[in-house]
Amino acid sequence: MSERLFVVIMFFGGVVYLYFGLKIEVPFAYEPIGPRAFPVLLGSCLLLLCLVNICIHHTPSFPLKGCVARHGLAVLFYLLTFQLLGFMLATTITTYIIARIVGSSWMEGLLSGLVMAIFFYGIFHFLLGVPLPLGSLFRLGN
Amino acid sequence: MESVHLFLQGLATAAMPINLLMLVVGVFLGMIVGAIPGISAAIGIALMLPVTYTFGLAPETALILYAAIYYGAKYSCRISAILNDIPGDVSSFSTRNDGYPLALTGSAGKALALTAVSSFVGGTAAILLLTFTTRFFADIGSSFGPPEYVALIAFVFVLVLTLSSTLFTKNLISLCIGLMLSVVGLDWGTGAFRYTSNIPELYDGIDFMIVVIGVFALSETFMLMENQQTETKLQAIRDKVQGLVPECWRLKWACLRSSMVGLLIGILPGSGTYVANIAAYRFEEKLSAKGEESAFGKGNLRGLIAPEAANSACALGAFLPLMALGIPGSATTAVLHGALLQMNIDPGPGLCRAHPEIIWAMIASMYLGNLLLLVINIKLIRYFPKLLTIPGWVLMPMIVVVSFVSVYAVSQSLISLSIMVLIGIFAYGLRKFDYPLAPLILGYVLGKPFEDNFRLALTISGGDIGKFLQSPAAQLLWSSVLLAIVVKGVVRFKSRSFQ
Repeated sequence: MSERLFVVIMFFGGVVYLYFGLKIEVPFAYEPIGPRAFPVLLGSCLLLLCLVNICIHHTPSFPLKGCVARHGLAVLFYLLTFQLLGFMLATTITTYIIARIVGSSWMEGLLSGLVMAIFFYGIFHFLLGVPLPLGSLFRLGN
Repeated sequence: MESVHLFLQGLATAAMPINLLMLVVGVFLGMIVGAIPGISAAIGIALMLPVTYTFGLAPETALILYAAIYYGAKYSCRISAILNDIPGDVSSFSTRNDGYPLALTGSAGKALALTAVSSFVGGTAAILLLTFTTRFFADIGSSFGPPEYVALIAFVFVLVLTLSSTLFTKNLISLCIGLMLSVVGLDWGTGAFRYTSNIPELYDGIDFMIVVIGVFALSETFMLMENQQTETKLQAIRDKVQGLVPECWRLKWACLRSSMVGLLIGILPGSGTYVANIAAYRFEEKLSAKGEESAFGKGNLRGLIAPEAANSACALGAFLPLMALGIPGSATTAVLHGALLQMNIDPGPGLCRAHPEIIWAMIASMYLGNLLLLVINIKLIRYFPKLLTIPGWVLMPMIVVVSFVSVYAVSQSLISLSIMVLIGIFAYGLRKFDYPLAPLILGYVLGKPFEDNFRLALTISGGDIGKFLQSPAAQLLWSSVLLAIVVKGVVRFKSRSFQ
């Protein structure tokens, strides 16, 4: 991935930010600058800085390592299944996947997945009273 | 006399069983997160937020806990630097220069004990400064109105931008993104919704927890994944510590000098422990005589203790602008500031005036915490290196799971989790391309007070921009802003002409 691509993504983020900044509706205005000025200023600044940075372009490109991409996919999987499969199942599977990416054996991965799911469920659900999802797929909770 | 009374009151509060318990928990937790490379004090504080919510801790108890995690982590990041040649945090960057060569020669125990003492000295110097000057600076801060606060925050921003060694535009982009994140939510003055897209989770802005965990914890798992080590250089502690007191006495001046360097850098917003650590090392290196027993970088004891004394002094010294003026000066203190705001504690002159007992309880607890750290680091130090052997397949999934659960504890919504993941992936990109995260988090934490005070000052003055330069304090601060920019420009120009 090259920095130029990253800056282009930020630039488009800045364009979207600026567009929605200009569309901020002001119900009534009794102060000199209102709520629109800061977002518009910041959006414009980001666009300008991105342009400057594209021209300077300092950091060399780096190949996205396979393990990092797989880790990203595992995190996305966890996000999508956190409520759907519930905390216990989603945590076991995700922990197993990440552990395998890092280089553990399947037994270590499975054990760490099960221990982590049970341990954190116990801590957060029973000790701290945080209601963790049980899995909407199984109609057991949110 | 009143200060003595308040300090004794603070000591009594700090000595309460719940506060002592949280102090011990915080110190141990801080030591654990500091010792493991990649996990910083910011992550430790962020991940403790749901715990403090759930237990409904009193403000002073939460403050004692967070502060203990913070300085505990800064104290122990040297362990990995000395034993493994990898600093637990950038705060111990220079410690490894002389620490690891000592460990290689079988003096790891001595190196750890000496740095424990120097950290204690640096920390104590900073706590003494806090004890005697917090009130003075808070009195100055209490005379500040919106224009002065705008100037003060602008000063912090400029220092963060100019003191960093990273490219100026990258710093500025990082700050800009932090400020952009702070704008999201309902506008206080007009009731306008900004970037909320009818998502209720965004009405109060992007939750502090989501940003901090995304930026520091989740993005860190990507970095850890990328920098996995196949071979470990970990050294065992084989030696017994003997003759520690005479050795420390011999190094007293180096220790005190470095503490002063750390203090000066700590109270100045924008630089942080990384700069203090390196500056103290370079300073001692410059003062070193040619006939010393071992050269710097090859196990010199002054080179070992100087960065750690400065690190601790800087970490604790950073509480002065945070507590007296409500201004965090580094990424970790910004996280601490945000965590305190989440607990309805607004650090600054208001808190010092209205609830001095909270501040004094924190300061008194720091004396106890610093002493506790010294004892732990000399008596129990053999057990902490075991943390460095935690395998990646336990550590990485654990950070991911705790990140998700911590965010879910605050807002039971998939949208909050999605925002956290998005911020985490984006922060990984920023790290990879050398965009510093400190300006981002400072921009996010200080963005709202900056905008609010700016607009308030303009509303009071009826749109007169001259209001920002009326008071002597504001004039001084704006002059400092200008001076910092000019100095940075001159330094850059000179370094270019040398090239």
